[in-house]
Amino acid sequence: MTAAKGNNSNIYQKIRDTIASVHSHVSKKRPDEAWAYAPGLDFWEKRCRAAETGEKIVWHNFTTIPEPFYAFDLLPINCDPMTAYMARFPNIRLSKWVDISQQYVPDHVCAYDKNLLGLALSGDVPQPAAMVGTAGQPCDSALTIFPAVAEHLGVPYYEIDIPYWKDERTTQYVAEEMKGLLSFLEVLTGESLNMDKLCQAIEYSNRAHELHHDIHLQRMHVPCPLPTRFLMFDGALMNSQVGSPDAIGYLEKLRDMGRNNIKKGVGAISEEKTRIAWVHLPIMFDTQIWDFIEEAFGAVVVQDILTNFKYIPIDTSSLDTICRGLALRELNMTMGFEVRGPAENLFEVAINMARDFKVDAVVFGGHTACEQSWAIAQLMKDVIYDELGIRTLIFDCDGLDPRVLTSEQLKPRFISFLETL
Amino acid sequence: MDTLNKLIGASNSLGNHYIEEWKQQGGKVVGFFGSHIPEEIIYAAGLLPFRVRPVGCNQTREADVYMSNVNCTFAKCCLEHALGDKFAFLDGLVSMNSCDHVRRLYDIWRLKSPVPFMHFLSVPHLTHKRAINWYRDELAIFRDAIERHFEVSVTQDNLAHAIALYNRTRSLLRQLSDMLKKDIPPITGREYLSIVLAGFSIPKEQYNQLLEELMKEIKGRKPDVRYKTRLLLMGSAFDDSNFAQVIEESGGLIAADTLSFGSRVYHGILKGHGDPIGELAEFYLKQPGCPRMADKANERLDLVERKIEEFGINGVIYQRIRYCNLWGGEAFLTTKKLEALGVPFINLEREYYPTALGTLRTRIEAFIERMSK
Repeated sequence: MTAAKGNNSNIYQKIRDTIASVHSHVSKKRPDEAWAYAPGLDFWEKRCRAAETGEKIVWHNFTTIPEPFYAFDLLPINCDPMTAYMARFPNIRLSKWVDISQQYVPDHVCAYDKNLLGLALSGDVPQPAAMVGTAGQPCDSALTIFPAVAEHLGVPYYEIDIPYWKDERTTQYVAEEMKGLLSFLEVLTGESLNMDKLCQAIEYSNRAHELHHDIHLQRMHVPCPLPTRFLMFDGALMNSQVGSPDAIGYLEKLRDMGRNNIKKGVGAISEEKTRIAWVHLPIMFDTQIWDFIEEAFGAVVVQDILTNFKYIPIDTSSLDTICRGLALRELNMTMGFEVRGPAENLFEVAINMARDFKVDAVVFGGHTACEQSWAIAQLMKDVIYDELGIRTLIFDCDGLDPRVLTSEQLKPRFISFLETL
Repeated sequence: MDTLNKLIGASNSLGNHYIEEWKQQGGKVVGFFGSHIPEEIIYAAGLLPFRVRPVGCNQTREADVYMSNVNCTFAKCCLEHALGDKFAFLDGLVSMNSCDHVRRLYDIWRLKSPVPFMHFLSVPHLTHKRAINWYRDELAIFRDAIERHFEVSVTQDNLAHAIALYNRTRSLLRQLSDMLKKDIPPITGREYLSIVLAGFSIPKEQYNQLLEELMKEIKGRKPDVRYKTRLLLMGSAFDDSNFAQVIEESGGLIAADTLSFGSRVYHGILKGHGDPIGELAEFYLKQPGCPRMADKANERLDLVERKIEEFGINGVIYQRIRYCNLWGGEAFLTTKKLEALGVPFINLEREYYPTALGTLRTRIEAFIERMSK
């Protein structure tokens, strides 16, 4: 694997080392939770190794499903969770790459994409073997930056075209796009599609989705048996590791944790006072803000939009059924379905989340670059109130960049809202 | 210059007497967005296509209730007009997934101030065969919806006639634009842009006639064009004649463009083969268009390079409406390309409606001054 030009300080290693350090810290302080950090550590350990051995890494975007890569023994990196990790770890200082990108693109382009562009320009990351993105979801920033980065790096690029609709014709179209992706990966690897490997990857992902569905239902329980902070792990894992066996151990442990707490009749926190549905991207630069509202107000974020996966088992009986299933998963990716089609897609998800998870309040912590969601945030707030009588807190921030608004500036908004509930 | 004034007048107002006459005769008007929706289908149905532009908007008080401060002012101005019934003359509206702002504009328009006929097209972002077939089906669905709602028939003959008519428009506009290649062109860039804009709201038969008359009128015309440099204008939706005036008063001739409200209107010619809907799908989808077309970035940049050469361009104005992430993201590859070509350029951020013209003037004057040294 060749390095992109630059000093190649290798961001993979920094992420791996930081997770290792957090893992070590948690192992001492909260040993019963250390397992939650293991899949992330393992994921980045493998990417670091691949950067040395030359195993092929493929970058993909937020709303691209990872299963096809595992079927070809490729190592996918979902660039958005990678950026979220970078934002979460202050020692990495994500602002460096955001600033590099802003020599070319304006500040309002999404920081997820600006970070990727900055990384590509800086050479602080090993060059991937290929990139795969989606057009049509999640947003205009990703639509322009992802292929531009591939062009800049000179790596092969495949784009999955996602129509606006959610009907049978759309599913069939995307199923063909999935076949196109498999052909692209055949060329990339120089190997024909191995149906056994594809079925194996789908079986792993089916198992992961089944477990995740159990966890999803558990979170509807009052009191919520699982702490908010696990949503972060779930989201990154479901976006990056389904299709490999690596996701399953974590999900089984989490499912067991939820099951035990429900059996014991206890919630994740001692006194659950307020249940919140978080219908936008989490504040990645300070995930402890969720801990803060739990501790200060007994307010639990029982579900967030990123982790709100639909349960779609895939039939492995033929290539056609598999591609159809992959298409349905692709079309229902979190922050894909909600932001892609008509406004009613977002309304439907928000209302279902608020109702099914029996919440007292909804929070739209609007990452400013999600302009497609911001345009209908007020309508969504009205619809939720009209339908369920539930109020929504709307505030803006850059979910990755505390230079826009810091946690200390955000907290008063939570406090005043939660106090009125 | 009677014809020129007529065209400029039509470009500067939301409605015009052509639309009024059309309506008085019982005609229906259908608004549409973007450069990927074939007007020909609307025209073939006996309806007047109207390219939606929020002419005259200078604030977004009502639109701000729904859209946020991170939404582009073009979309917000359209919504402001829609909520204020300024588009009341529209009998229909067709939109597409052109960008995050415009597709949400359609949502809010549909929910808060619906037009009798509303239709949305899912336009692919790629141009492979599957995408073209998809778009062909979308256009057939669109045609059927128009036929049902307006109780009309869109025949093959009507489509063939509309295609021929629009091809004539393209050809006339290309002739007009070619005049800007001359050292002393008979029209200014600002006038040329206004002439193109006028075509968005005038029935094409009359518009073509006006263009033909104009060609005769401006033959040998020597306007007071004293410029220091020849510029290409590119980027977001641009129909701001005040801004164009600032550029030309600062000594820059807008000699070429790649704007959706400019040369993209007449890019290419349809051949008119047996399957008009299929041909329209392929033609409109394969337009280099705006950065929403994900596999056309290199083609867009090649087009810029070609125009720089053909029109003797000295510098490029890359203007973006704030919060347009399509042109915001495209700025990266464009910057690299123009730097590689050694062509001076300026990347300007603006709002849709005229604002901070003084600041823009200073920046443009400085840019032109720098180029002239």
